[in-house]
Amino acid sequence: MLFDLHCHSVSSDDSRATVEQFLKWIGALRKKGREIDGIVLTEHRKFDVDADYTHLANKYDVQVLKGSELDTDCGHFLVFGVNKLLLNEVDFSDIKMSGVELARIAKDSGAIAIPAHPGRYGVGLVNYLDDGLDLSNITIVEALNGSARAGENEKSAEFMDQYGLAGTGGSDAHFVSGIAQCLTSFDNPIASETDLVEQLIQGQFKAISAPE
Amino acid sequence: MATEPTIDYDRSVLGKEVPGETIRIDREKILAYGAAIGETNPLFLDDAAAIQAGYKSLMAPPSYINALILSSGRPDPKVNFGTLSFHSGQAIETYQPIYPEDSISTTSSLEDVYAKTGRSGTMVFIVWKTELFNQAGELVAIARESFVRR
Amino acid sequence: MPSNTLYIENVDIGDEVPELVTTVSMDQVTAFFASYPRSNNSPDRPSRFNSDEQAKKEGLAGPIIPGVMSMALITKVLTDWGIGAKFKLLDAIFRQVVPQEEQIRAYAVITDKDEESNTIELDVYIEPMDGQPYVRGRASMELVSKAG
Repeated sequence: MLFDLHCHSVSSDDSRATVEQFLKWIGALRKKGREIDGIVLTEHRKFDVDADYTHLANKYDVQVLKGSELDTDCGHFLVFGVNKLLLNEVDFSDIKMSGVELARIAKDSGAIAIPAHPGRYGVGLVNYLDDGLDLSNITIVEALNGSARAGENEKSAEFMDQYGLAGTGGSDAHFVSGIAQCLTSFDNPIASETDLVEQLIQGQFKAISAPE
Repeated sequence: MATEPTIDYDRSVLGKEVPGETIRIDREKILAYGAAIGETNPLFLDDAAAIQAGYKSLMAPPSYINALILSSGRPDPKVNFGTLSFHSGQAIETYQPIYPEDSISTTSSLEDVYAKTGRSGTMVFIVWKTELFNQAGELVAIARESFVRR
Repeated sequence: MPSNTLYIENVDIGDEVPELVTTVSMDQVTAFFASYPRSNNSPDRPSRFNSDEQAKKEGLAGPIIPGVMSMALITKVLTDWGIGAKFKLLDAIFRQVVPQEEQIRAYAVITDKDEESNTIELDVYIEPMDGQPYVRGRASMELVSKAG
């Protein structure tokens, strides 16, 4: 299955795309022969507990899962499998939270937090490696980010190789037409956030770019 | 818990409406604007074509709204952050055409000041809203200018 | 209606608006500001738009195109294509400075369509011939319907 693991709807303060517009665009891509099974909404510094996209997901036959993108003291992290335990332990609006702690708490709560665009200047993990971070709870990073500037995905790849990490793909779309620029291909079906976390932990996935 | 930093600025400016100068729309200026961007659309160049399309005369290209917003005369919110200022974005909504000889008046207000952290570190955004009215008192457009300080 | 009127029934999500490929010179930027009724950007005052030296003093590689001129180019792309349409909205984000004297392309793609209101939404871009967008945004236009 192919999922875009990183996108932002208007619920993120800097996006101009509604969820429905993302799904309509995916419909247009499918007409052109593209395969996309689902998206994960990773809104900035929040988790929309009450947002229910079931109706839209059924209408457009696209899975819509929810996650978050959080600011930390060592760059941004994508969080999948957000649950009550994690929401009680972590203040999602805290832009200076410890990324290392976030990874640990996420793992302990049954969720997973992975560095987003680690090769991005300023807000990617590679900028903080000299701080002597404990990376023991980081086994996956976002390898392919669809909004990367020149050299950023390459820096992420270097980091992954150096530390033997697995990599996901996501568009980081803030506009409708940016969705599905990069995807994650999973070997097994995913029907929920729990499935997603399980498949990420099992490691049977790879990052892919959209065809030219 | 650290959210975005509290910004030091003159909060008394927030929301205060400031009237701008009334501008008489000059046909030659509209044509010069079009020439500068390589405009070829007859609606913005030729009265006969515009009238045939149902308009009063040739009109200003929609983006000409931006030329009618003047920052001079606005109160300074004295945002105490950073040393550089860049224009980070602008939004225009159009409601009525703007024709030569129209008199356009504007009212501006400081709509928002907020901080955000991105690639370049923390930045402060300053958003000005301007409403534009014609001589009949009709709202012709709304513009929002966003500036970033870092 | 003119024979080349663009009808809502004839467009769909994913359709691309014909692009504009252009290079903007300092003379054009100067002429652009000169067309303003009044302007803070006098050609007599060095700025990032009319002076290489001043642009470099401000940490730029060279003189740049003003954001509002980028918006003018995007609007031109849309109004050239949307014959019979009413332009409603352009919300532009200036992600990176747009250099003068560099070939750029301005284009748009339809991202949403509402046949009740005859409105389309578009993502709009100004980008280098090879690279990430300088300007990105969202636009909205009201098209004509064959149903009248």
